[in-house]
Amino acid sequence: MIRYIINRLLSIVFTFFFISILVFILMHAIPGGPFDPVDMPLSDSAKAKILKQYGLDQPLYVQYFKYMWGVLQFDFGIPYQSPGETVLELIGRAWVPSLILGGSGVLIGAPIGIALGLIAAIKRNSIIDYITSAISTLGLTVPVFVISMLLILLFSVWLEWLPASGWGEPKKWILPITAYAAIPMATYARYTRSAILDTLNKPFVTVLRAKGLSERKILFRHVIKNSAIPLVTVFLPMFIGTATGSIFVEAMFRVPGLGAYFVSSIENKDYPLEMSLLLMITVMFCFAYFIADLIYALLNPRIRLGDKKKQ
Amino acid sequence: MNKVLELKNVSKIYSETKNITNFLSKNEDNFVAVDNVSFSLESKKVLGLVGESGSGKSTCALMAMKLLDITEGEIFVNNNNITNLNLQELKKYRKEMQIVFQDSYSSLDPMMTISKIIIEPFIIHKLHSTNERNEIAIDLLEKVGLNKTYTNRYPHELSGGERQRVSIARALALKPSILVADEPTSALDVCVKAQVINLLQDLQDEMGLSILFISHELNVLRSLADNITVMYRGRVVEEAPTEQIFANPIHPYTKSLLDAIPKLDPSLRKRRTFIDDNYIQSNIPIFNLNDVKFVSKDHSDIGFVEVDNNHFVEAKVT
Ligand SMILES: Nc1ncnc2c1ncn2[C@@H]1O[C@H](COP(=O)(O)OP(=O)(O)OP(=O)(O)O)[C@@H](O)[C@H]1O
Ligand SMILES: [Mg+2]
Repeated sequence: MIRYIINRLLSIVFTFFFISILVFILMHAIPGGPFDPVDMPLSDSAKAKILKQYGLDQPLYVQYFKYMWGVLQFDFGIPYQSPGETVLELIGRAWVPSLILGGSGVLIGAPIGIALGLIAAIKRNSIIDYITSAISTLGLTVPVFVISMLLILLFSVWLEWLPASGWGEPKKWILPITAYAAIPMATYARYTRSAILDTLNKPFVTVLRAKGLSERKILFRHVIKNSAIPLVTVFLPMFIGTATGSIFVEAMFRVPGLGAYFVSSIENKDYPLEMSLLLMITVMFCFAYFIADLIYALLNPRIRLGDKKKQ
Repeated sequence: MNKVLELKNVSKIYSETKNITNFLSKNEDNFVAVDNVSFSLESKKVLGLVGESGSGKSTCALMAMKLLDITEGEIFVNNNNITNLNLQELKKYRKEMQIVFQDSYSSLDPMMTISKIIIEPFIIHKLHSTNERNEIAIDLLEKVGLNKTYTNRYPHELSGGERQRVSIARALALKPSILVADEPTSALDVCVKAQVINLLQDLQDEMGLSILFISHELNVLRSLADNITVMYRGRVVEEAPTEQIFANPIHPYTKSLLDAIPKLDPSLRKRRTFIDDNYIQSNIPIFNLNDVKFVSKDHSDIGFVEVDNNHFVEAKVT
C-alpha cells in the first residue's frame, strides 16, 4: 500500500513536469507576445527594455527553468495584467467566488442527480425514467450559457425575484449556482442510472430474488454498494472538473472569479498567470484521480493494493 | 409419477419499449422467445433441457422459478399453481427451488465473503442462530468439496470451479427439493466439469434433489439426466428418456445435436456439422394418425405426438 502511494506520488510529479513543459511550449508557440499592444505600438527600444525586464529576451529553455525554479519555491511570478500583486495573491483573491459557485453547484447538483438516476434505474422504462432521461439529456446538451440566459429571463426579467448579475450578497448567488448545478446533476443522473442498471442485471441479483429477498433490500444491501465502485472513480475527478470549470457561468452572471482570468491570461499572453492556472488544474486533477483510486481500492475487495500474494 | 415442477403451455414474449418514441407511440417490438412450452420435472429425477444458444432455455428456467413475468401459461410446484402468486405468497416456495447459473463470478456478490454469501439465505428467511449459521456454512462448504479456509475469502480469490461449488452450496443452504442448474458447467474445463457433475449427482442421491439441468451439449446430459427435453427456437421439439434420445432420435434437430457431439473414435468422426435451419425445416418428421396420437395440436397438421412409450416429438400428421 505504502509503495503504491509512493509510486503514485512520483507519477504525479512526473505528470506535473511533463504538463509544465507542454504548456510552456504551447504558450510560446502562439504568435505574438505580451507587450504587442495593437492600438499603441511600442518603440523597438522600449519593447526590448520591457522584455529584458521580464526576462523574455532569454532563450526559452532558460525562461522555463527560471520559472520552474521559482515555482518550486512557491514563487509563481507577477501577472503582467496586474503587476501590483503576485500570481498567488491574484488567484487567492479570485478563487473564493469560483469555489463557492462551483462547490455549491456540485454539492447541490450531484445528490439530486444521483437520486434521480437511482429512481430512474429502479423504475426503468417507466414515465419517471423517461422524464429523468429527458431532463439529463437537456442538462447535457443545452449549453450552460443558454440555461443561464433562460434563468435570467425567467427570474430576473419577468418575475423580478432575483438580481441578474453580481456577486456581493448571497441573494446574487442563487441564479449562477442553479445554472451551474445543472451539469453535475445531468451527468450524475446518467452515470448513476447506468451503473445501477448494470448491477441489477447481474445474475447474483437474480439469485437473491430466487432466495426471496425483497427488491428494496436487494437494492440497499447489495446493488448500491456494488454500483458505488464504478461511480467513485468517475465522480471524484468530475467533482474537481466541474468545481474549476465555471468560466461560462461566471461570464454570464459577471461573477468576479477565476474564470475571467483563464480567458484573459491566454488572450493577453500573460505567461506567468496562464502557466500557474494550468499547473494548478493539473495538480488538482492528479490528486482527484489519486484519491479516487485510493477510495476505489478501499471499497473494492478485488483490489488489495500491493498485496502481491493475491493478485 | 409425482411432478415437482411443471410448465404448462408457457410462452414468453419479450416486448421492447426501448426508447421514448416507442414508449409514446406504444410501438412495441415483440419477440417470441418461448412458444407454448410444456414439460415437467419428476420427483428425485434429473431432467435435461437441451438446445442451441437462444432457444429459450434460460427464459424457461427463469419463468419456472417465477423470476421473470410469464406471458402465457401456468407453472406448478408440487401441484400448486404458483403462476399468479405475489412476492409475499411466493416466499415459501422460494425455499423449495434454487438456481445455479453459468457465470460463477457474476452470480456471487463480489463485495461479500464466501461465508456471508452462503449464510445470506438464512438471514432472509430468519433461520438459525448466528453460531448455527456459521457451522452450517462450513458443513455446506465441506459437502461441495471445499473447506473452512474458504470462509473469509472473496469470490475473486477462487477459481471458476470453486466458485461454482460455492454457488451450489448457497443453492443448497435452504434444503430445496428442486434445483435449476442453468449451464453450470459450460464455463469450466473438462476435468472440473466432470467434478461438478459428479458433485451434483452425489448431492442428488444424498438430498433427494430433483434437478432441471440446462445445457447446450447433449453429451453432458448422458450420464446425468433421466429424461431429456430438446428445445429449438422457443419450442419443445422432442422429449424422451435419455437412452431413447441417444438410441432413437427422431427430430432432425435432435439428430444434428447428436452429430455435434465430438467422437472419440476417429473413424466415426465427421466434419463438424452446423445446425442448418433449412435442413431442419424441410425434414420435420411425418406420421400417420393411425400409428401415433396427437398429444397436443398447434396447427391443423403440426403437433406433439407420442411415437413410443414416453417418447414425444413435434411432427406433421397426415
Ligand atoms: N430480456 C430480454 N429481452 C429481449 N429478448 C431477450 C431477453 N432475454 C432473452 N431474450 C431473447 O430470448 C431468446 C432466448 O433467450 P435465452 O436466454 O432463454 O436462450 P438460451 O437458450 O438460454 O441460450 P444460451 O444457451 O445462450 O444461454 C434469445 O433469442 C434472446 O435474445
Ligand atoms: Mg441461457
